[in-house]
Amino acid sequence: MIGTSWIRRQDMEDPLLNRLLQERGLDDVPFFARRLPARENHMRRWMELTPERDGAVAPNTGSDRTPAETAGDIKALARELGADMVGMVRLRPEFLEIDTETDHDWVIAIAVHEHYDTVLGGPDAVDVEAFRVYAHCAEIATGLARHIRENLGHEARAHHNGGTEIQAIPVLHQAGFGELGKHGSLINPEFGASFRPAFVTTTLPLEADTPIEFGVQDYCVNCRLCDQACPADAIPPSDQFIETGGLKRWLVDIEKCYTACRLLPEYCHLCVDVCPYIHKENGNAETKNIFKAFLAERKAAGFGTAKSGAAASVGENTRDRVRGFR
Amino acid sequence: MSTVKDLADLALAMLDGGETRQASLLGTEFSIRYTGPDPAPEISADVCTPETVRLTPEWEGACTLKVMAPLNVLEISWNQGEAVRIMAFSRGSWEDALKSAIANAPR
Repeated sequence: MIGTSWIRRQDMEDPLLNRLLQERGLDDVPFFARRLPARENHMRRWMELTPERDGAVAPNTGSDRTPAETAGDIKALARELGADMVGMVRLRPEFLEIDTETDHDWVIAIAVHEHYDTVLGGPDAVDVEAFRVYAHCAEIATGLARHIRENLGHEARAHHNGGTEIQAIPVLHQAGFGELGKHGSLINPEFGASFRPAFVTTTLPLEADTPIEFGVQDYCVNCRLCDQACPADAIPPSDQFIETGGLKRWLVDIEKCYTACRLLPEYCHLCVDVCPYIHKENGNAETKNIFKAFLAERKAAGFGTAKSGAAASVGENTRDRVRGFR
Repeated sequence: MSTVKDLADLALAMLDGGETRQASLLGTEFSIRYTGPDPAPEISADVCTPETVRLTPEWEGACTLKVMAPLNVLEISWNQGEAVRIMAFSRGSWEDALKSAIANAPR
């Protein structure tokens, strides 16, 4: 199989980000220029795991487990390793980066949630929490891939922040993790959009999961919270979307998004923070209270709400003003 | 499945020598903009690798093509004889609309 999907790379590997830096006379990405020891440690962890993405495969001794049973075993192991969500689908060319070749025919998705009360704790807190979760995802994917190679005798390759050829959102959608939201992230009924993924591609025969629907695409049409909160005005109005495979995709304007999430020296996570699906489906009263208090804090700090129509603006110290009130 | 080059070539063909065009194709509102030499140099089938992008931060493209349908679904930059650099690319039904428009264009 040869991949057909273009994947936006991070940092200086993205030509768009390079162009924006050049236009502004910057040599480095302001977001990454900031030094946070805890974040550096998490990044170091997934870089340490990069050489372990792939490896030698033990002889396949055969197994009497059916694909469905094997899928159940893999899910149990992933959860044991710390995954909050696990799903799997057949690998397709559109899930793989352009020109990537592989013999693998399955992709396993895992995800770990971010702690909502932690991410609301300020720009440093959300930054470190996101990187912590990414590092944990890298550990889980590495462990799963190693298990498949060494104990089950099948090829397996981990995909995470230390290296990936997988287009995340379509895989997560097909694996039943959730529906695509207007902010461009997948929304899960239990964790909202506040989670991070990693993947394993493999030759191990599995049983496919299926997409889920719980009304997100319809709800997003009328909910203005993320697009009003976006300090870069990067989320399009409800009536501007493209369709891919029958799904509405309100493509985020990445050039605008970068002005808030890469060209400022702090982490932007606002579109996820204000997404009501953090509590809407799971019915968690405590999370709902935190969510409502956060929106109230934003309103009190002078930031726009869906009703007032006044969005925050890039250049203000947005996150400092809306986080860390507790 | 169409490649980036296939789609970019179609978009350039829609311009028919002009720099911009706005049109409704099969119900999709398109806005296509090209900047660069006329005629546009051939778009390479090769996509610039992330490693090359990282190693050439000062790179500048003489040509840019941006397709809005109605959002930014394809944006590339290139120089003659070099691999193309993708700024944005999202697959979707706009691809079929573009292909149909070309197929049905008067000759």
